Amino acid sequence: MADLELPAGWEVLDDPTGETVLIAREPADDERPDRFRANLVVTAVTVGGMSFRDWQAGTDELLPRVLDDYLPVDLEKVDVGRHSGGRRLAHHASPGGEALTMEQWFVLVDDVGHTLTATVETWRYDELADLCAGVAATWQPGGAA
Amino acid sequence: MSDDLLIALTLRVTGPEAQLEHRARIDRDVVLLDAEVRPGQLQELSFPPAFLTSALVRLTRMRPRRPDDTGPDFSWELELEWDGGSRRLAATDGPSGIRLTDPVDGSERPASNTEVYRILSTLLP
Repeated sequence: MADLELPAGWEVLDDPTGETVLIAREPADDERPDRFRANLVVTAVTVGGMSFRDWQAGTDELLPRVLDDYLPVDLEKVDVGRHSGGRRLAHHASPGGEALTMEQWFVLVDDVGHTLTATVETWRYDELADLCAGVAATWQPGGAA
Repeated sequence: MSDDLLIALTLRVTGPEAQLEHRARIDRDVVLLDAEVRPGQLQELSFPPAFLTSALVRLTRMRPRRPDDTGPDFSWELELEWDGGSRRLAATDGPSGIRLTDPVDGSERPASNTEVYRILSTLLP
């Protein structure tokens, strides 16, 4: 289980597999059951001795190849938990053609790359950005001190 | 956005060598964009309004800045008008980042790409 505090009412999907530590999504909207549900995904990947810079350079190369219409918007160094890490903001399109905004917080701890990814519909990003950043602020990848 | 609302959008992007003016008409279902890809050369594009934010990111050339970024500053001015309302946003952008221009007194203040993206994602009434 990832070390973070989810918003009240968010649903945690059972049994994440592989490098995925946590998948959580916002409550369903009964009036619009087909609506894209904002979600949070935590992954932990052993990087095999790579530096933080090389790990993230690889991520920057990978994302445009795996996400449709990928468009980087922002990238900055930020502290994540007790460690120096980073944050990126990007647009991409879902397989269903929705315009999505992806915000990631990432950090390398003891050769494990931890990433928290929030994905929301772009027209709701301003509404949900502070909530997602609040979750990121509670995240302690690699465990609390 | 209401069913019958029609929005006129103008985006002027000024660089050291040229000014490009992009125009769009936006309704509930579609953005019809005339993008000026070179001075005097227009390219017609259409896409759902949900993709307006990413289109504006591309047209304003917003991107993550790295410490070794170089190149000239440029500016952009965005206007949206519809029956009963309007919005205006202006900025300069360059290696040192974005500075938003106050529409009333012309003063500038620094803004992160994320802040500007949040504004762009909420432009439509």
